[in-house]
Amino acid sequence: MIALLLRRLAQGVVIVWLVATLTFLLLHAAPGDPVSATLTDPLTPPAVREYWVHRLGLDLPLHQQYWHYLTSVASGGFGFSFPHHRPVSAVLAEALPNTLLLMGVAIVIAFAAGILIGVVQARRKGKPVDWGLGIGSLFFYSMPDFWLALMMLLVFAYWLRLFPASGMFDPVMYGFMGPWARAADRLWHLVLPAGTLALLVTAAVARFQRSALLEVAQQDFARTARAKGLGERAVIWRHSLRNALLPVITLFGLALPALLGGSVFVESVFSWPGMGTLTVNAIATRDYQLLTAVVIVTSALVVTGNLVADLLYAWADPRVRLGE
Amino acid sequence: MRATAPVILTLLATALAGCRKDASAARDAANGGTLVISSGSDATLLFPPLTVNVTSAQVEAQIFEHLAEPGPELNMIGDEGWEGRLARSWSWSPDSLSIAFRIDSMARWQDGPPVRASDVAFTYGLYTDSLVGSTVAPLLSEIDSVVVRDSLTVVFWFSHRSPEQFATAAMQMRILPEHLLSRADRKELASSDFARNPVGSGPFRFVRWVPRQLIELEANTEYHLGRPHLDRVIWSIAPDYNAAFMRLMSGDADILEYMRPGDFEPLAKHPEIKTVRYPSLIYGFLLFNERDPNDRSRPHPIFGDRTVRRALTMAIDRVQLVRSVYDSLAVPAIGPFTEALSTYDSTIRQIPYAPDSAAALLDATGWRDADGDGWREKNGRQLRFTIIVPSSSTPRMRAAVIMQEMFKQVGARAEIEQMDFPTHGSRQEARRFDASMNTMSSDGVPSTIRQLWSTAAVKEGSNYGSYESPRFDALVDSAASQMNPEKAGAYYRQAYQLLADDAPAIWLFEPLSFAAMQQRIHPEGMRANGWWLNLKDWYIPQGERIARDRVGLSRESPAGG
Repeated sequence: MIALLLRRLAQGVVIVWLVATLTFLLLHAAPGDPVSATLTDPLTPPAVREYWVHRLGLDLPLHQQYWHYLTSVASGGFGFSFPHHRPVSAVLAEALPNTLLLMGVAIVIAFAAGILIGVVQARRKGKPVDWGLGIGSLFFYSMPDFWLALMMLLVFAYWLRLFPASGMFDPVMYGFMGPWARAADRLWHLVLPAGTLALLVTAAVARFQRSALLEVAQQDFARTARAKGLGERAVIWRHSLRNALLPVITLFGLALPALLGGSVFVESVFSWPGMGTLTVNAIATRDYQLLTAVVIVTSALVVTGNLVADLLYAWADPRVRLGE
Repeated sequence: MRATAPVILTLLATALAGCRKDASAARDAANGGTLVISSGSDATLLFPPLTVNVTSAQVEAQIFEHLAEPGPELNMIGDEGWEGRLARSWSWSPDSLSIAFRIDSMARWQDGPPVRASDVAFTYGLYTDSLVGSTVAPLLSEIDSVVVRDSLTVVFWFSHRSPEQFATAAMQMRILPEHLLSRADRKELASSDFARNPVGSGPFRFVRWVPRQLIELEANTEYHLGRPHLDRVIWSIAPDYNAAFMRLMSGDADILEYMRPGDFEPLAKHPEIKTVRYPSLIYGFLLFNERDPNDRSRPHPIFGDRTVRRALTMAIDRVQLVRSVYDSLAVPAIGPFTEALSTYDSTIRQIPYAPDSAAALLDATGWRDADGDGWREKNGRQLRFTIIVPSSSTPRMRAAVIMQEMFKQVGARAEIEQMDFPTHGSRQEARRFDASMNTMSSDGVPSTIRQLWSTAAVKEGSNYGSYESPRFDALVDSAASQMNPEKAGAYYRQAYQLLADDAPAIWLFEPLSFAAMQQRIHPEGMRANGWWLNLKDWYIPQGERIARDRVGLSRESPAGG
C-alpha cells in the first residue's frame, strides 16, 4: 500500500513537473510579458519598462529564467508576481482556499445528489419519474457552464432576488454581524456558485449511476438476494449500490479537472475570488510566475484526486488489489 | 440598435437634468451613507508612485492628496483655476524658476502627526529614486530640486521655465508620510505593508482590503478641508461585466462607472437607477504604420504615402460609423484629444468623407484596379493590409468590420486580425502591424501629445505609427514652452491641424462616458480626469438612505454614527 502511494507520488511529481515546464515554455513563446501587459499606458516611459524587465529577470536567457523558476518552486515561493506586486505564494494562499471551498461543497452536493437521483431513476426505470429526471439531467449535462452560470445569476439573483449576485459575503454588513450571522451570510453567498458547479456534475453522476445500477441489478448476486426474499430497497442499497459505484468513482477522478475548468467561468460570473478568476487574470497579464504556479497547484490537485479515486476503487471493490 | 435611440435620448435628457444642482437636496446633504462602487478590477497595490491600475488610482485619490488640483476646465498652463489641497497657497519666484507651496497647517496624517514640508521633499526623493521604479519619475524631470524652507513651506526649483511646471509640481505626486516610510527598503516598497495598508492625509482613511473582493474606506473626520459627506466608500470587485451590472440592478451596488450601449434599454425599466454623463478624455482611432513592419528602414508600401493615407481617410464615413457602433453615445473624434482637454479646438478642418475623391486620389498615386477584380494594385502589389484589433473590445471590433466594408468600396482590401489585449499591445510596441484599432485616454496634459506623435517618440516612446514631421515637433515644442495660454493654444491648434492634414491615423470616435447609479446617490463634480476625484463631496440625502447607509462610522459600534 505504502509502496503504491510512493510510486504514485513519484509519478505525480513527474507529471506536475512536465505540465509546469510545458506551461512555462508556452507562456514564454506567447507575445508580451508581465511588464508590458501590466504597464499598458503608452505614456509609460521605456526606461521604466526596462527597469522592471531587468529587475524581474525577464531579460535573462530562457534557460536561466527557467532555472530561477525551478529553484523558486523548490523553495516553495513560486517567485514574484509583478501584476500583483506580491510573492506568488501569498496570492495563491488567498485564492486556493476559496476554490477548495467552492469545489468541496460542489463535489459533495453533486455526488450525493447524483447518486441519489441515479438510484431513484434505476428503481423507477421506465416510469415518469425516471423519464423526467432523465430529461432534466440530460438538460443540465448538455448545458455550457458559462451559460448556466449566467442563467442562474439572472433567475435567482436578479428576477427572484433570492440570493446575492456575487462575492463571498456582504461587503457592507458582514463586519457588523455575529459569528452565526456571518456563517449564514457565507453560506448564502455560496449557494449560487456552488449550486451551478454542482448542477453541471450532478447530471453526469446521475446518468452514470443509473446505468451502472441497472447493469448490476441484472447480475447473479442481485438475483440471489431477491430470491432470498430481500426487498428491492435492500437489494439496491445493501448489495448493488457498492458494486455500482465503480463508474462513479472513475467519474470522481475525472470530475476534478472538469470542476477546476468549470470554476474558471463560474468564479468569473459570480465574482468568486478563487483560482479560476486568478487564472483568467494571470493569462491576461502574462503573469508567468503566477500562471505556472496555478498550473502546478491544479495539476497536483488532479493527480491527488486520481489517487483518491484509486483508493476508493479498492474500498468499493475488493477484487481490485492495490499495487497490481 | 435603432429602436434604442428614443430610450437613449430620454436617458440623456434625464442625465443632463440630473447634473443640475438641486438646491433642496443639497440642504439635505447631512453626513452619512455608504457608497458601494461596482468595480471591474481589484487594486494591485495602494502606493501612488507605482500605481498603474485604475482601481488603485481611485482608492489612492481618497487616501492621499496632491498639493493642488486643477479646476473643472483642466487648465494645465500656469496655475489659473487651480485649487489648493495639501497646499493652502503658493507663490512664484520673479523668474518663474521656483514655486513655494505653503502647506495647510491643519493637515494631519491619518495616524496623527501633522503634514510638513519635509514630507513633500521626501515624497519627491522617493518618486525619483531609481530603486523605486516609479512610472511617474520621468515626468518630474524638469524639477531640479525640492527644498524645505520652513516646516510648512516647500520650494520646487525647476531646471527651466515651462507652462506645465505648476501642474508637474502640484499634481504628479501624491504626498506620502515620511515618518512611516523613511526607514523602508525602497526596492521592496511595492510589496511592503504600507502598500496594502496605507496611511495618507486625504478625506477618507483606509479600513480594509480583502483581495479581489473589496476595498473599504471610511470618512476621515479630521480632514483639514472638512469631513466628507459619505461615511463609507466600498469598491466591490466584480471582474465580469454582467455580474457588475447585475449587482447594480439588484441594489447590491450603488454605482457602475461604465456602461455599454446595450445597457441603456434595460435600465430604462428601473426608475430607481439613473444615468449620469461625465466628461471623458478617451478617443478612438485607426493608427497607420508609416514604416514597413518587415523592414523598418523602409516606408510602409501603403501608409508611407501621405496621399494614400488621406485617400483612405476620405473613404471612411465617420458619422455613419459612430452611429452604427455607438448609436448616440459617441461623437466623431476630430484629433488626438477630446472636448474635455483644455486645448480642444472644434475648428480643426477635417478630411471630408468623399469616396469619389478617395478613388481619384488612389488612381493618382498609381493604385488602380487594372485587372477588374475590385481590388486596386500597384507594381504587382494589391492594396491590401491588416488591421489588428484587441478581441476584448466590442466597439473596436465593430468599427473595424464597418471600416473594412468602407475600404472595400474604394478598392482597398482590409483584413482583420483579432488578438488578446496583451498581444495587441506587444505588436504595437514592436511596430509589427499595418494598421491598428486603438483607444487612448489622455492624461489631460496637452504636451503629452509629444510622447505619442513626435519624431523623438518613434524610437524611444509610444509613437507606434512612426509618424515623423519636423514641423509638428517644432509646433509642439513651441506650444510646450509658451507661458501664455492663448499663444500656447494657437501653437497646439496648428499642431492639431497638421495631424489632421497628414492623417497618421483616422480619428474615429469620442465615446460619451456614462455612469449608472442608484437615484439616492448625488454625485458632485465628476471630472474628465477622474470621475472619482471629488467623492468627498458626494452625498446621500437623509430621507433616501437605506439600511447600509445607516451603519455608522465605527466597525465596533454598528449603531453609532
